[in-house]
Amino acid sequence: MNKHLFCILNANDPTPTAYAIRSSSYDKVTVFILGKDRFNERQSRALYRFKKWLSGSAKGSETWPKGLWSNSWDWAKPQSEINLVEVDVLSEEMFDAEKDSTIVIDLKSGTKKMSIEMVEFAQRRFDNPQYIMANIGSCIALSHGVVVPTQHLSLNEMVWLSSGFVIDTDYKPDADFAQQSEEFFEYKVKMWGNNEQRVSFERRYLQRMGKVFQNNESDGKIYPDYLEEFTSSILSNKEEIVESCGGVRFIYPKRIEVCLGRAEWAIFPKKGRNEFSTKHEVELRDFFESRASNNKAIIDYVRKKLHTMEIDTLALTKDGLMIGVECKYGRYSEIDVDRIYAICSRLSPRFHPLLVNSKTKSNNARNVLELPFPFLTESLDRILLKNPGEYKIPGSDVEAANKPSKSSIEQVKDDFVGQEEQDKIELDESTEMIAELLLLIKAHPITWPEFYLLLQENGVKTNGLFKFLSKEFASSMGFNTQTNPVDCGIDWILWI
Amino acid sequence: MKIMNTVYGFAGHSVVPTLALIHSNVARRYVIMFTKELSENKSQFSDYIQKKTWDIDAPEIVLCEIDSVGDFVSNYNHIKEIVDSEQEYAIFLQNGAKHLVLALMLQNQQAQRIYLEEPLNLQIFNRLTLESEQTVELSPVEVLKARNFNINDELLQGFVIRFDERGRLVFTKSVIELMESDVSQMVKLIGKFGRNGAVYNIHYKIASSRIRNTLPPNVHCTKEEEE
Repeated sequence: MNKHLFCILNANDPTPTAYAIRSSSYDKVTVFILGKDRFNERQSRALYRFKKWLSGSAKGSETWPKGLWSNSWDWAKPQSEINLVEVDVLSEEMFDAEKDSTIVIDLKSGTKKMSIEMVEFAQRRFDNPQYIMANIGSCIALSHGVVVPTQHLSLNEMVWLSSGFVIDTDYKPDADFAQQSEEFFEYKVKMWGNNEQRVSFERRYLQRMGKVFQNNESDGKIYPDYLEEFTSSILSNKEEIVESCGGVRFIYPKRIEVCLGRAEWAIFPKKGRNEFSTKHEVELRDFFESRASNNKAIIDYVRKKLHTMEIDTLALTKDGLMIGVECKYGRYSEIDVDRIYAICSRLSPRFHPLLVNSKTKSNNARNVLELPFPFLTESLDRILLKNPGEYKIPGSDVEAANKPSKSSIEQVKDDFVGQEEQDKIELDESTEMIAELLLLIKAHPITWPEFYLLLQENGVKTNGLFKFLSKEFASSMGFNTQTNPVDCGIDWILWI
Repeated sequence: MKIMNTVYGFAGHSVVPTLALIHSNVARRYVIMFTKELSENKSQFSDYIQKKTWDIDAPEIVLCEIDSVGDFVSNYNHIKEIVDSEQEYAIFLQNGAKHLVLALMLQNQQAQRIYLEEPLNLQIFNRLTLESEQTVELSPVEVLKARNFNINDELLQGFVIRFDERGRLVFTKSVIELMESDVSQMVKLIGKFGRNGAVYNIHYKIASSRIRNTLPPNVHCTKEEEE
């Protein structure tokens, strides 16, 4: 029996229409394109992207040097027979399907009124049509009142559909590596030359993660380079993330000349050329001159430098949010902060920019959370809060209104820390330890981040800790917690 | 126009459609469902109804809280429980998240459907056929009251408040030099009335780019020529 989907093209962003097509295995799909004659330029570009998505590749009529386009940038094209129907208004006659087909109507795109019309027309034409609203990774079955999981679109497809870029990535974190990067994670607070405090990876941690120190100046580069790997790994560990990758270059296929110009600039910088570009300078310059090379290594090398813009990490959540991250281990300026915001805003209507740094406290002054890297291990919900309050590294010398006296945290540490290193303990297995710490901080209050990190340092898995406290301890021990604990200094917990 | 027994609908970020509905006199009873995200609006609306004096017979207004907007399965069941299909009723499809509105409609396909056409024209449909319509009289002050504001409230100082041609509430402030305090006032106002709950305008003659850049993107900013 045929399964036939009817849906409307979302003319401003075709991503929801693509979700609908991927929501099940359809034999036939009818996509209504409403009012195409009145499409503005943005909507026409969206239609182009949708058609290219249906073809399985973003590569268009533009002339790409032979071999430069990577097949890894393409995706599996939908298997359904797809019919694009251009109409001015919806009408009953447009709902045409083979007899005995199973009819599914996606109501995600279009106005409420259009969706209601779709329902009415489908009711008139078919027996028992099913109504859905497809989202990324799930689909609301409106007729039955349930939500069913569906296939995700890849990050590459998502970026293409919403922005018109294809992405090339340096790496996707290996699951074991990503897990170890969090499990073994150690950092310290250290002083920089100008009495500025910074957080730094522990050298033994980096060695454990396979980084080889040669006791020369190249060692210094290991730290900032690892921050990118760390960021994409920690994000990939979070259950809300479906895909995370590092070293992301965005390529606008229609502007191949611009991409090549940037690649040439990256390959021949004014200073700091690498070994490959020095060794193959003549061949590389020939390529940029003639746009052709018979040497696959040259083509592969150029491809890795092609970009319109680039960021350090890109991650996609289950509900379609794109998180773009810039990693700055050293100093940076406001321009870097604005830049990551600008790049993310070009990628998707649903984006979240993040700047990960080595400072000891966070900042959120420019609509971008600037986050000290140890806090990446926080729950994603907290990192993505619009106004997450301030994160501070415990023990760093930061002034704050409700900062506890040093003796308070030291007191708690003396009593609580210093246990033998142990495997991570799940929250529900560590109630005794948490209760003990709660009793200690009742006498010697400390801030939420300090509390959190103390538990973390003692091997307690802290995902969902805040909810767990309220659920398991609040009524029995007699306290309330504030909604934004990070904001509240030592008053994040109020004893009744 | 025939007066119905009950109309069921959702509250939205803008209070205008709900106000238009309850002032329309199309029913004796209105049941308005608020998602958890709008619980503050619900309590404001509840205060407003309690204080409200009516020129006509006061309708019965019932406010229900349902789950978070994203919790479809739970809300689907809530809607089923709330709607009493044994009596004569209609559904108001103007407000609320699309998936909730469609769930309400699909569960109650035979019920009359009510929409609010811009600016304030209430239309009653039987399936896809328009059966009747009427214009609703509403003032911006009524909208402010429904959000527990009065026109002299400090947060509204310096604003001109009106409905636009689409029936949306418009806040407009004109200043010579745009200051941080204006931005802060605007941000607080958006917090109260919602990003999409009203239209926000600022007219200025002088503004540093630093301050202008801190204005939320949904504020329409107009530079007026200096005289």
